Amino acid sequence: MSDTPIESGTRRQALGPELTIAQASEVQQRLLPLLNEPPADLSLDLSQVQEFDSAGIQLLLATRRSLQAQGHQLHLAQPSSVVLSALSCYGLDAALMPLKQSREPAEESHP
Amino acid sequence: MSTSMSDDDAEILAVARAGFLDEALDMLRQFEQSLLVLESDPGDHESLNSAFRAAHTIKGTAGMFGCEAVVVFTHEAETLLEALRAGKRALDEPVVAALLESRDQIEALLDEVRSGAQDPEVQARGAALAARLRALLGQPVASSPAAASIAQADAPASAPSQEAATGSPSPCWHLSLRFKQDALRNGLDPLSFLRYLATLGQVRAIRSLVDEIPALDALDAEACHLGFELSFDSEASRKEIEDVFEFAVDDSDVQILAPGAAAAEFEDLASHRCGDDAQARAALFQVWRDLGLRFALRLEPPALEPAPDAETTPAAAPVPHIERRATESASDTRGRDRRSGIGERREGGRDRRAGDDTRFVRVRADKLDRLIDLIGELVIAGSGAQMIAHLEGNEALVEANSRVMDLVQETRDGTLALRMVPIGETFARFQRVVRDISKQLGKEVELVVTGGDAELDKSMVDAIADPLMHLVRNSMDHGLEAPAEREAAGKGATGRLSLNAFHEAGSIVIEVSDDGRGLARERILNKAIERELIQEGQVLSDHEVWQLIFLPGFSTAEAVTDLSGRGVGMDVVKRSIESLRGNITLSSQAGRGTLTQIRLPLTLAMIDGFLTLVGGVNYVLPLAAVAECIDVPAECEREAERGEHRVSGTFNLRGEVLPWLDLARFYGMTPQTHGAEPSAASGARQRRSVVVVRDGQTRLGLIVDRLMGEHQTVIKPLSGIFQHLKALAGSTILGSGEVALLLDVPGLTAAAIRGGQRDLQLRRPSHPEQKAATHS
Repeated sequence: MSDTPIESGTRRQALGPELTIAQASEVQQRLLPLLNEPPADLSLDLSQVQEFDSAGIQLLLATRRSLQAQGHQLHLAQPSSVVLSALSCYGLDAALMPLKQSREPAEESHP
Repeated sequence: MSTSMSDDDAEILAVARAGFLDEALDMLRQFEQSLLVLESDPGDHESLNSAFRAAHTIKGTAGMFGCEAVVVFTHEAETLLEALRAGKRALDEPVVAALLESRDQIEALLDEVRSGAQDPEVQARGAALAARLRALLGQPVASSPAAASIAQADAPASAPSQEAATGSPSPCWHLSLRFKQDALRNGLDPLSFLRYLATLGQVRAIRSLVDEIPALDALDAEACHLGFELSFDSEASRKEIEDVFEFAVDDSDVQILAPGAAAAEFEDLASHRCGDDAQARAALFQVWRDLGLRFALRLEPPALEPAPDAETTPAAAPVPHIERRATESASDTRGRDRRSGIGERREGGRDRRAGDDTRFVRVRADKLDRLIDLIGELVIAGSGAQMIAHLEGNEALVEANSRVMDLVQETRDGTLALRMVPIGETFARFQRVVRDISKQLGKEVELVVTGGDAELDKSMVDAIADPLMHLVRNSMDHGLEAPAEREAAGKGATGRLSLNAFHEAGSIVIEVSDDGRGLARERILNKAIERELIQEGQVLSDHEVWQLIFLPGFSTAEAVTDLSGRGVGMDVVKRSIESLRGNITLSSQAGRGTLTQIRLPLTLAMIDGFLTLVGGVNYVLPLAAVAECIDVPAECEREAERGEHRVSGTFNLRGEVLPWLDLARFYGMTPQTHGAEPSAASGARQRRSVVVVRDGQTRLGLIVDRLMGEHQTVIKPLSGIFQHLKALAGSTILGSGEVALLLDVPGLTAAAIRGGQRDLQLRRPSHPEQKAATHS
């Protein structure tokens, strides 16, 4: 986690394999320093996340909020199927994964 | 739920998921078939319904397993099909093409579910295809409500959803959920509730209220800050929906509005959630609007002050909408009709499925294999008992045993039949292949399928699919001509490719034929000479020429381009057919087409055998291949006496000249004409016999020492070191515990026709009996 290189203005960090309420505080403490020195876009590699719950989602949303307050973006890199499933259950995949937005309008457009 | 799952749960889930994937593939097959019918007959409502049901079922079950990507994409296809059903969109070629591609995409997504992998390419393709499906529907591609998603929280001024309203949405339950701070700590994950909710119906739209979540530094990571507004399409009762949240009753605030709730009820809900907080109300109304709820609130965020007090609120939620909703909920029947209509549709779908096409019990293949193994053992044990009964000479015991054996035989046949599937399913797959390849090649090809009812073992069906694909591709690639060329040759522009299957003498014959240009004899010959497969000047019959194609070394990539006929990896096709104890032949007429015949045994596991004794070794012939048994004709005896070592020759059977093969000499043994039994002990020369077997159209006489009669045979494969024994198909164990070798009739026929080429066969030192004995 100390190794968070910045490439083309984006800092990268991998999370997992567990991202649940049990690790929430710890992960929060890991993420906080990444926000500040120096501010940059943050890309979270979620490919290894096997356990994911609402606390994990909250962490992502809070991180995004903090980043946006600084004028930066949160990217989710290669979210695992567990993450994707949770995000789409919450209807959040469009917001957290802007790249996939084109796929999104499916759900509500035709009731 | 997502945090920890017991192993048992995980296992059950994994099994259920495998079942879902299997079912989904079945559904995809149905989907594809229906589409192919629709392509030729756009007016076929039954097929349209069938395709819709398939998509609907896939979506429904995928939802239950949380395969969101599948749900989202399948929904697109389903929506288009719905429009087709409703007649809002005409069924034309682009539609069918897009739907067929959707089928492939769904399959790719299901593969991802199976493998757990995520391919960005699949994702990109899905997005593009979804856009195409929407475009076909005549809908704006970009501006649908979900695009706004919760992103609207960041940009509240835009509400593209307003314009994209798609008629009146079917009435949904509206659920407003707030979870309390301690929910997560108490082990209540909103995610679990939402997933459970999804089992009762379909979450049409959901908005997570992310504004409640503080920035990271202010976040209490273990506290729950989540809330949701969602539209829920379900026929469940209010009680059932409430029960979903039963466990969370202390840690949540759940408000449920019935489908078609009046605007006033929403206003009450807004008061409950936001009180008089204008900003919070504005946000909530925006969320509702995104959900597709229409209150016609004017979008003037700074000026908008909904409901400063009770009187003005109705004004803020303008009258027309209230009226519409009021009438709708007053004449509740309409809403219910519509919902029950959906119910009927689903019910109908289920009934139909129960009625015909999927009235099956799913059984794990390994259970079936185990049963077949057991029955194999039973057959062997039964043979043993029968033999002992005969030795005892106890009539009653023989009688009883023979009754038992009859039943065993029936059981065996019945069990093997469990594994039998009609080949039609495999054939049907080629409709799509032919369609796609013909488009790709710019050829017009009509696929004619016959004999799809012929059954063969499931494992054979799976194994035959690839070789068949090869043959079909070859036919389309090299055999069938382009329309112009066909017309020039005086044929119809549309080429004809036929798949046919039928049973013949214990085998199944599968034919791939086309009416294309046929094989070019001269070019094949030249190629074979060039590759030194035959000698220059060697005279070959047409049949022999065609078989050259199957020689390894003949089929090279170069041959494809040089040769107008076929040649791509035909040796591979031949090998895979032979590994199934089958054979493949090819015939062709220049300018008229080509016929490829694959002959396969019906099953790999058990056959009715005909037991013979040759040189003291037991050999079994497939009973179905045995035509008759005769005494050794005089001419064979004479030939044998003239040249002591003749292995084969010809004899006259009622005016027909047939080749014969002396099995004893063929396998390098001395014929045992002195039987071991007392009757033959006199030293008199015991007569040997000829078993006439047929292989397709060819007949062949096999000279054996003794005929032992019928015998049920459980085929055990020969191990690798016997692979070079061309004419042996396997081994079996007799009731006495002895080993018998199963003869491969096509292999024997080929050997007899080649005529005494003993070099290819086994020599005296490697006696098959010894080998089999060491093997067993």
